[in-house]
Amino acid sequence: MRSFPDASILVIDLTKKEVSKKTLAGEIYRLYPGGSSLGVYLLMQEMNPKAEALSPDNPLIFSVSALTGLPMSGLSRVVVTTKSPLTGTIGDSQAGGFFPVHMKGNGYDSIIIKGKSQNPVYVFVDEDKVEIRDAAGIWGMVTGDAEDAIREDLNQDDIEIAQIGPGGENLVKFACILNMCNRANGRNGTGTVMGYKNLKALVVKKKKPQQAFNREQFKKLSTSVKQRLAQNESVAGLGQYGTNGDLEGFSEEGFLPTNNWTTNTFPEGAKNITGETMYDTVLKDRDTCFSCAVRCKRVVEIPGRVDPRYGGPEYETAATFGSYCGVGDLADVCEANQLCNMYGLDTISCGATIAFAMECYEKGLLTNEDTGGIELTFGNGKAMIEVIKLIATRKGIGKLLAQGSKRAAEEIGGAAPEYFMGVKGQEFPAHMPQYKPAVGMVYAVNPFGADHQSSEHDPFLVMPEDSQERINIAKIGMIKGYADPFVIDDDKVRFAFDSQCFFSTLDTLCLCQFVWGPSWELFGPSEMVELCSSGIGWETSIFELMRVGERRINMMRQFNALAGFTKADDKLPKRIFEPMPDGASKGIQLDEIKFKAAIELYYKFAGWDEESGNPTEDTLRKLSLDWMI
Amino acid sequence: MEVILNRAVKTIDQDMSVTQLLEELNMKKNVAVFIDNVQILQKEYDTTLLVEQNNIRIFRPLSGG
Repeated sequence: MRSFPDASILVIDLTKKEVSKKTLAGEIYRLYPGGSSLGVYLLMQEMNPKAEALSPDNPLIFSVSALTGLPMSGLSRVVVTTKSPLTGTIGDSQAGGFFPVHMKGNGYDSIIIKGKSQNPVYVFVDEDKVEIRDAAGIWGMVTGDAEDAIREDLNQDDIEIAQIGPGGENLVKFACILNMCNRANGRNGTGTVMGYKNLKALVVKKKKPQQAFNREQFKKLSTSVKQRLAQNESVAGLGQYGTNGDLEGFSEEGFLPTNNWTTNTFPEGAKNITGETMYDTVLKDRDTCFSCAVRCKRVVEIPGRVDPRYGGPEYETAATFGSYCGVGDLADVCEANQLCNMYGLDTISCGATIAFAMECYEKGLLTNEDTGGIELTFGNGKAMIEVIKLIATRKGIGKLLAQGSKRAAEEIGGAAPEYFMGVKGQEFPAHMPQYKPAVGMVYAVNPFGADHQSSEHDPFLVMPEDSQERINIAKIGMIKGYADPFVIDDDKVRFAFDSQCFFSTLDTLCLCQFVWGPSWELFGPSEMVELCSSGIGWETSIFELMRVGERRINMMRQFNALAGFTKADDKLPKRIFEPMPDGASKGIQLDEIKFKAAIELYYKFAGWDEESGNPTEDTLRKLSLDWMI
Repeated sequence: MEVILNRAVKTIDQDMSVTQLLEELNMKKNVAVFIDNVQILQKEYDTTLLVEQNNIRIFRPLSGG
């Protein structure tokens, strides 16, 4: 065992063009051991939550964890934390790739970007040497061109680049930050904040990753990946078909959001845009992150149209540019994915916002005059592609839609707000609460809006008692199984909250949720404890780790409370409570009264005030967050 | 023999195990199987033999990502 390491933090003030370093003592870092927990902790030291998201007072914070860069699968993730310009809440997004490892390799657990540069710049970090460099020549470039230009400007190839595209430069509210041109800190408009600061890119020199504290013990864990992959059909399937392997299944079961969630099955198009079809047609390669054997990333190519540099669509992207928009053409979906990665736009919010606009157009709330003559109907893939470019450049109808669908709905008026499908201003990912009510609960209460990777999904509770999924979930206290995923009861609420705490720990320790998790993943709760011990000499327990996760959620919730949010913001759209209209799930309905009662019970389990939905003082004290009172 | 599989009639071979049925359907073992409303443990997929008119439900946990 050894003492918990200190956190090393780089602070870059773009207003003053000053660079400094500070340290967070190990005994404090242990409470917020990386990722968005460290990010929120540091954010709260730097800003008033009431400050505007697009202001120099809103820092942009990149954080990895004490574990990042250890040489095994699933340990290279970076979190960006800021106040979200899309939702007005705390903002949070994660990405993989190789950038996280090399950020840590330069000796930094966190990089805080403060203020705002007068002119476009990019930052280059080579350990203690930090340069703020002129980016006038690359401002306006798409990500691929900018990456080439930065390499040329620095005359270096051994660098990793986290950048924005024209979407962030033009302050599209759902702009993202990309590394490798295809690994996105996607959600919440973190790229918008970066664009506001006139920061084109954060570049780190490649450095040696950290080595394990107890190499022998660590090696037992790291070398078990191959055997685990051979035995784990779920994770192995990710490698073969990517996350999009289930899209046709969702449609067949009647739970694929289609035509802006007006229906739930896409028989005419699902098969064309699923992972298997990608595998058989356009898949060029399977890519991976640092040291990871899963190889879940898609690389697609359509000569003359889709460049493999920009990766390939995940499930969410295939759904939002596929079924959400009624588009069943894989080439259109792949091109849409590419454009988002070139321009730096979150594929979920972008696709969902266009789908929203399609519904408005079909119902006469938007006209040809509004769209500049574009026939924005469901199924029109060419129109969808045209509108992505307009959003990125804020031209024509893109100017309205660049605000995100909630603000666009408010501006359009009439029935348009009913067509916004999201929470707190963030558009839904493609998992229907009618199928996954615990996920729906977390959509409602999650501090940074609707998010599908903040908790475990209900269907895994239907697996047999002796399955890996159920054995692992039982380790975090969820023992009950279900014959169907649709049930809402007290245990389901407990599952929502406890799995949310666990996923919160994953996002704190910057662990990839396809490798590390509470059920179907390669490594479960017990192995996380082993990882901490062998990796960095941290003798911990599932109890401490769950508390770390709970602490993060409460910090975020308290940030929101101070920014003016209450339980009134924890609402799902009315459409979610209507009976499923079509397909195999026709008639299945999420009971609104039961759901609302479940949310009230969630607040009690979380230790939040029943009136406001915000953490009580006692809960904050329990979690060593008295400094937030 | 005939069984009901996910609410549709299906003809299968006699003495077919759950595992064999999954293989025939091109499905992996990471699914939940209910026979006449009773869930089968995963360790029993190889040894549980299906019989005439069994009402079989196969549930595939869909995750996406």
